[in-house]
Amino acid sequence: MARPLRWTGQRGWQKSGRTRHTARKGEDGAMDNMMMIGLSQQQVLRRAMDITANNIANVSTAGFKAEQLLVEADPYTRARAEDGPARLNYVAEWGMGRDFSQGSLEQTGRPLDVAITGDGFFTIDTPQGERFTRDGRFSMDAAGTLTSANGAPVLGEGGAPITIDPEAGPVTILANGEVSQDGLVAGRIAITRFEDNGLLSKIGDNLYTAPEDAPRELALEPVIRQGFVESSNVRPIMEITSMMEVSRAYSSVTRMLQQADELSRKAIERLGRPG
Amino acid sequence: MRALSTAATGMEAQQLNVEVIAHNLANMNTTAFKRQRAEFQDLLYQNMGQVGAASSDAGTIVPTGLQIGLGVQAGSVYRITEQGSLSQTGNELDLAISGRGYFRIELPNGGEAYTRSGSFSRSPEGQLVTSDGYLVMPGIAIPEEARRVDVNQQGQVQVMMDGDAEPQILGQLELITFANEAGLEAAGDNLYLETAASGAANVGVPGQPGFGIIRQGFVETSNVDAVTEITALIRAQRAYEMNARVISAADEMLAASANLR
Repeated sequence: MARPLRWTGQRGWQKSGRTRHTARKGEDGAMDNMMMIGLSQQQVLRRAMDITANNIANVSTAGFKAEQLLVEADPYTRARAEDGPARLNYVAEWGMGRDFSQGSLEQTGRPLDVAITGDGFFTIDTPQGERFTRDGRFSMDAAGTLTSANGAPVLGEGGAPITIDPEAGPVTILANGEVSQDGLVAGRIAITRFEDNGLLSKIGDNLYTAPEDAPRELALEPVIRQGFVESSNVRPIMEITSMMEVSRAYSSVTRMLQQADELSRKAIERLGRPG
Repeated sequence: MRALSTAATGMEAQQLNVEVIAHNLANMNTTAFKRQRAEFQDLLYQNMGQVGAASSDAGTIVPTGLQIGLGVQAGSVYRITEQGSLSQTGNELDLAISGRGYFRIELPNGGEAYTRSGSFSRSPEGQLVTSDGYLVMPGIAIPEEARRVDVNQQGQVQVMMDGDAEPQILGQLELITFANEAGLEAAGDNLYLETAASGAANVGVPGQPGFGIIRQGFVETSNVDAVTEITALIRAQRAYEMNARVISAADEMLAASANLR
């Protein structure tokens, strides 16, 4: 089967690791198929629930991007039956989609809060290397360095941190990322854009990491808003709906498993009756 | 099931959110109070799919694994040091700072604290003190015979003595700024303490570049906006409820499995 292409651009659907649920050889009778397929679906549904729970938990996390489990019917490990239907499919996760669409901007009144409108990420210099974030709640440390919420320096376009004079006047951040104070330019906030946002992976603390060789570029004309923070783009109603869907699907699979079990019990009882 | 503990972190986070909002609302009428905001960060991610694994014989590589997030954590509670509006009191010892800076206060234990709440009074000895009786530094003693006290925008304190035609200069008020105001530690009673995160106290004179000016006869009101806070409260409550629903849905799923024979 040809694998679907992944989306690029704003919504970075990505293809990823797959898990398969194979029936053990020699045990693939019709009844076991039913059980195994049901179990594979239950496992996937639990995972979908975990992801929905994480989205809802992060409904007020700045710059958070909602995630979704992508599911496929697994055509590779075909469940076989000697004298049953020949095409049975297990359910498997196909990957995870991250919705990189813009979150709404919320006014905060802090001069060092900045939000990006459009594509791209702030570049943060953590001890582990460059990390990327949409969370623009910056501060100034005691030395005047512009830092992320965790205290790691925010990188400017030259790859160096941006330093502000703590004793000079208010800080102005222009739409193109230029940080200035009393008319003096202190630097320009670097906005990194990736060719494929699907290559990013999350590491917590609102940070993303990218493979070394991921194609990227510095945004030439970013649009940055000072005094705003990008809210989480989790849509609560969608999440609650998908939560309801998942839990209903789970209970119907459970019911199916129960019926399958009952069926086999009855069969054994009847066949085991002498005479 | 991860969903249970994930939703629990969400409920905990929203609880903190409500506590911060409650604190803001409780201090709506506190002089020079600066509102706070709880900020959240996503927790760790568990990699379920292997990163960089080959996804086909043709050598295509799985770009990222399947990542399952484990919830949310409170990152920090920020103080938003936006200027509060000035409210006129007419009291000659009410001083408000318009712009950046803090008054320096001597604590009874000899330490220093900083405040923007400038509703000062006169101690029995004539010293300029805070409403708690702490000395405003540098000490300014107002003589008993003073008819009126004038503080100009640059912080110069002058008195008009009975019978004098010319005002007499008593002293000069100072303002303190910090590299990172949000890093100050709130000590209650409208006082803040210097920390490693705030940077060292930087002394200056009102009106100097980077420092605010003094307004006599005014106090700075709290910068809490009731409407914003109530909206935030509603949002926090809804988010809490949603997390609670996830817990009950996940619990139902578990129960369904547990009841399987």
